[in-house]
Amino acid sequence: MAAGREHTMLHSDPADAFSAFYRKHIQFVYAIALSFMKNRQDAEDIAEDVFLQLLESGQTFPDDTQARAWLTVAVRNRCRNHLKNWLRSRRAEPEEMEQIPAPEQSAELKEVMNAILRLPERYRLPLLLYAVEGYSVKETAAILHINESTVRTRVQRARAIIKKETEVDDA
Amino acid sequence: MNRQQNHDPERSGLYEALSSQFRMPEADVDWLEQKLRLRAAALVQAEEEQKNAPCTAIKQTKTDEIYGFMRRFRLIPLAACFAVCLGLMWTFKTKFPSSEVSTVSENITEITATDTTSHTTDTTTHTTFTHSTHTTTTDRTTASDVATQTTISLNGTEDTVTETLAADLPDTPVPETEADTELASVTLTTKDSTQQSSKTTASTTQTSASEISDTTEETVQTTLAQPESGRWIEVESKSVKPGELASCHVWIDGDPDLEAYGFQVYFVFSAENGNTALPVFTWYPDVWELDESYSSSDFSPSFRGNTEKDWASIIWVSVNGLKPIQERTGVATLYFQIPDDVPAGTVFRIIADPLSDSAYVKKDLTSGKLPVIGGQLTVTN
Repeated sequence: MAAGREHTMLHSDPADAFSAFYRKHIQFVYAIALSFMKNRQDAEDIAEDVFLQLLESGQTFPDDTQARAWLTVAVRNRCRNHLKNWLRSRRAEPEEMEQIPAPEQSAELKEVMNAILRLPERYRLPLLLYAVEGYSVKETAAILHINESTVRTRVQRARAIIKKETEVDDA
Repeated sequence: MNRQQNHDPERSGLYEALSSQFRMPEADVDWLEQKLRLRAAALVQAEEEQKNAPCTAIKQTKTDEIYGFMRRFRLIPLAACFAVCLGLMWTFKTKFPSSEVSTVSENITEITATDTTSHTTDTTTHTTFTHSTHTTTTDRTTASDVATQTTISLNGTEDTVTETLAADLPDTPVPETEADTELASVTLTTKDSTQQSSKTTASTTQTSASEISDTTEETVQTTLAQPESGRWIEVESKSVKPGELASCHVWIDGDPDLEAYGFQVYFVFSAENGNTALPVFTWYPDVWELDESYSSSDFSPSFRGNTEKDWASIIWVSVNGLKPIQERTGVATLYFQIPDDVPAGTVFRIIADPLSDSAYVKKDLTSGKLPVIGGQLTVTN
C-alpha cells in the first residue's frame, strides 16, 4: 500500500468496507453489464459475479478511477465469456437479447437506447460513460485507458451513428 | 455514484433521461448486497479452514497454477498434438526399424519448396513435417553399400543425416527396382492450437518413389488459399449444398498502417434469385478463437433480415481484444448451417467490415452496394 493513498476498500470492518464499495459502484457495474448483455437479469448476474470476483481476489484500489477501470475490464470480460457460452448453448432465442423490459419508456427513448446497445463496444462504452452516466472526458479516458481526444472522437462518432440509425429507422 | 457531472450541453434531455434506464432497481441492489455479504462471510470461513490445512492448500494451488497456466496459453491442445506426434513417431519406428531405412528422395526437397511458398501470406502457424524414407541399393548380394539417409524438412529447413548401417543389415537380397522398394511416409499437418482445431493426418503407405509427389500435392491442396496481395483481410468464396455445415475462412494479415481497431463480420442474405423466403441458419462462434487475444466485443445475433430489404444482418463480431488488429494475423473460420430448403442459386454474402460501423454497412447494403471486402457462399445442388 503506497503511503498517502486512500484505498477505496480500506475500512476497519472488511464487511462494511465491501458494502461501501459495493454501494458506490454497483450502478456503474450494472450499467456496463446491461450495455453488453442487453438483458436486465443477465446484467444483474454479471454484476454479482464481478463483485464476487473482487471479494475472492482481495483486490484493493488506490482511488475510485482505478477501481472503475478494474471493474470495467472485469465486467467486459465476464460479459464476453457469458455471451460466448450463451452462443454455444443457444439456450434462448436471439430476439430475447434485445428486449429490455423497462417501464415508463417512451418510443423515442427506447429507440435511442436500442441504438446505443447496437453500437460497437469502442463507441458504446465512451458514450455510455460520458453522455449517459455523466462522467467527464478525463474520467472516461482514465476508466477506459484511452486518450481524452479519443473519448471525444468516439462519443462524437457514436452520436452520429445513433442519429443516422434513428433517421434510417424513421424512413 | 461519486462521479463528477460533466457540463456537456448536448448531454441533456434524452441522454440524461437514458441514465435511469441503466439503473438497477434499489430492491435488487439491496438483495444483491445481502447475497454478497453472505458470500463474504463464507469466504472468511473458508480462509480460516484453509489455514488449518496448509499442505493440501499449497498442493491444490500449485495444481491450479499449472493447469491455469496451460489453459491461459492454450497449451492443452498443443500438448495433445505433441502426444499424438510422439505416438505416431513411435509407431513408425516400431514398424520400420532403422536397418530397413535408407536414402532420401530428391522429390522431398521439391515438395518442401512447394509447401513453403503456399504459406508465405497465410500467417497462421502451419507446420508441415515430412519424413519420408525408402530403400534402394546398388548391390543385390551384399548390404555393404546400403546407406541410410534421412531428410527432415520443417518449413523449408533441411537437415540431412547420413550414416552407414552395413554392419546391422542382414545378408539377404534386397529389392532391385524402385517399384519394389518400401516407403513409409508420415505427414503431419498441424494448425495453430489457438484455433482449437488441430488436424493430424497420418499415412503409412507402401508405394513407389514416383508416388511421393502425388501424396504431397494432396497435402498442399488442403492448404488454404491466400489473400490477394496488399489486402489485409479476405473472405473465402465457395459453393455449398443445402443442409451442409459450411465452413468459410477469413484470412487476416494485420497491416501496420491500418487504422481500424477491429473488424466485424456480417452474414448477409442476398435474394438474387428472387427467393423471398428468409432462410433460417445458424452459426458457430469458432471465429472467436482466432488467437489468444481474440474476443467478440459486440454482436447482435438477431434475425433482422426480411424480403423488403435485401439484407439480413445476422451477426457482427468485433475484434477489439488486447492485441490491435495491426498485429493480428491468422485464419478465422466461420461455420454456417445451410438450411435444407434453400434453393440452388441462393447467395449468402459474408462481409468483413474493417470500419466496424454497422450503420454505414446497413445503409450501403440497402442501396445495393457492397463497400467492404467479402466472400460468398453460393448454394448449388
